[in-house]
Amino acid sequence: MFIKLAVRNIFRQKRRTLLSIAGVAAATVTLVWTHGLLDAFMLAMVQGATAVDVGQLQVRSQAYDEKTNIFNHFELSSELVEKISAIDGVAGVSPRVHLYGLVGTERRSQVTRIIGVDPERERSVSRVASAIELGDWLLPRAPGSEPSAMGSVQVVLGRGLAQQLGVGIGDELVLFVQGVDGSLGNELLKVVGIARTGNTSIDRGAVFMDLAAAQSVAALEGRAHEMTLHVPRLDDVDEVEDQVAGLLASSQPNNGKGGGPLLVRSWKQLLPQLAQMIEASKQSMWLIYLLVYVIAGIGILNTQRMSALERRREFGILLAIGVPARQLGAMLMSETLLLTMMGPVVGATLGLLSNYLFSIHGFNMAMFSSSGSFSYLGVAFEERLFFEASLSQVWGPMVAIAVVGVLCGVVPALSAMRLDAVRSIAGRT
Amino acid sequence: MNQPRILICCLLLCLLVPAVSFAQDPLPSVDELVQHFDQLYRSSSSYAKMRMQISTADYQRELELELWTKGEDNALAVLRAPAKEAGTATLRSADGLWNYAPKADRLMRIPSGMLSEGWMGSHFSNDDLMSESSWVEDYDTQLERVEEGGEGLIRMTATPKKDAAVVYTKVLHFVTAKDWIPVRSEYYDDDALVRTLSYTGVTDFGDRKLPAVLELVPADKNNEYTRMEYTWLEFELEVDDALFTARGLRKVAK
Repeated sequence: MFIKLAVRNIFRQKRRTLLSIAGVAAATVTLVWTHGLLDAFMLAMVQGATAVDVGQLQVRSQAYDEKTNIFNHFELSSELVEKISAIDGVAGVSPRVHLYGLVGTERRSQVTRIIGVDPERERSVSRVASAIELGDWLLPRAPGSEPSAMGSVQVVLGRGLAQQLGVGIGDELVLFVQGVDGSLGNELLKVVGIARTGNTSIDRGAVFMDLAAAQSVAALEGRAHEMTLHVPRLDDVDEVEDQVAGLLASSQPNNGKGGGPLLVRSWKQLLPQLAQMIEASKQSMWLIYLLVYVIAGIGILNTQRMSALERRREFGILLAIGVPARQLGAMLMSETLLLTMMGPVVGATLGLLSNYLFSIHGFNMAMFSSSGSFSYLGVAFEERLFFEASLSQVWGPMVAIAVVGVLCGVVPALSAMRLDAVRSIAGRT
Repeated sequence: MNQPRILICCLLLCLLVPAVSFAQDPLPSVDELVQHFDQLYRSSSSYAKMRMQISTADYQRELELELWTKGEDNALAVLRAPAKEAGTATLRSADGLWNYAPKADRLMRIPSGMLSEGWMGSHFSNDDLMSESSWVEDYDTQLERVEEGGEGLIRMTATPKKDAAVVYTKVLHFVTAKDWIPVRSEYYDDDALVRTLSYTGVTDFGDRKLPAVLELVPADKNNEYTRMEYTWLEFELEVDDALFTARGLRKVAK
């Protein structure tokens, strides 16, 4: 019965009630939208950071995990590559060789990263193959042919590196690499493509070349430094990680000289700063909830106190005809709760709707920068950020407002319960 | 008068001076000794064959190479063995430093930042081998007489001049006092010993007596070393200037 009374009471002052609800609703919309933006930003961040260089998961030797140098390699088993590719949720596996060497011409040279990849496998793992700005991605080698049968080895250069060296498509470069046996390997390279991946470290200083050619120049035949896995859905990463770990435990390949057992590492371990940053922003969302709702809460508290004050005589009569003080308090509590919950329901609906719209049309990130492109921590973002509308963006604000509602309802309810019937009817309080 | 006293003083002095000079020869002039040291293995021109043994935690390897120098600016080192790398060469001329890639048949300029990098996987740097820096031009040197194991040595303390592009804060060279044959060089960075180069196996190369074996031991790495042995060394021979060009290099490297 007092719920019914509460509803009636709320709408006795329609304008005030609607204003209060609108305030809370606006706060909720803001929070849901901010949550959506943050989610989308973090997702884009992780996807950007893992799209080219790191991948979502990597298999590497223990020694390489501790120290990423050329000597900590492992024997590459195509059987293992196939087994990992077959795991649900894995879209691609690309074994890679990582070298540092001197690349240049008679006039200019630079120390660069050289990444040896299987052109086809790399295409299924990283964005680089589709981020070719000029020319083409590496051609897969005919089986059995020598890596440099044509006299030179095809390479794809990061855009900044190509500029630095002053070379374009079709130009030749010389490569010197200190191999694992100490030998100074040399190779003639031919630029077939220039990539703009959006990953600063790749674009400024990386050379992609055929895996076999990279192995040969560094005396690393049949070996690799890591295998990068592409797991398109970030939510699947943990599950896939467990499966790969199980697979590695059961089929540990003979590793020879190099670096201990193979391990699987997720992007969170490979990019700890990024993982920490995401964790920190998630935590800070709660602080934002609190701030926004404290402000909204003060509004509600004010409304409810006012309305309770106005109805003091009424309360006195209710007490006089025998309504227990407890029920009077419960009625006031329900009023506050109803008032507080209507706002978030409206706000969450609107917020989800807006996130849904942004998930279709995208949010223009370019408005944050004058150059028209936006990049953060070495990762370039797409011009438009696409949200994902999900219920997880809603429960946080709902819980927070419920807490605030209860807190705001307690004060007027308690003061009403303490009323003296006679004095309040007489208006002498 | 005071004359007798002065006479006595003079007499005493005359007696003292030879006594001092008998005990120790006067130190050579800094310029003379440093000049000598700078030109030790190169002179105005030189040709050498050497073997290099490299031992690191990650690999062992043995190289054979030929080295030509002329004047202060020109040097050419060509790798002859192992076969896989034969023909790889490093050229220094007045214009800069290049590596030659035999497989690609191309030269590539080595950026100056790579000067202190190891040459061909050894502990010797590009600078050590190609003598980009000079003891005369880049360092201030002081001499001091020391004794080690009963042998009289001269210690040359070389500190880099202000603008010299060198990586060490101090280098100590020890040479025998008698005939200036190098014994050991110690390289320091911020008072910490970084590496030691020791010279052994003194051999007659024509009219010069020089240590044939140079062993470089980095201080911070266990059991690592590069040992370089001159198997042939001659000086003041005719070396064509054209050798220190891309074309000249290709001719000898192939």
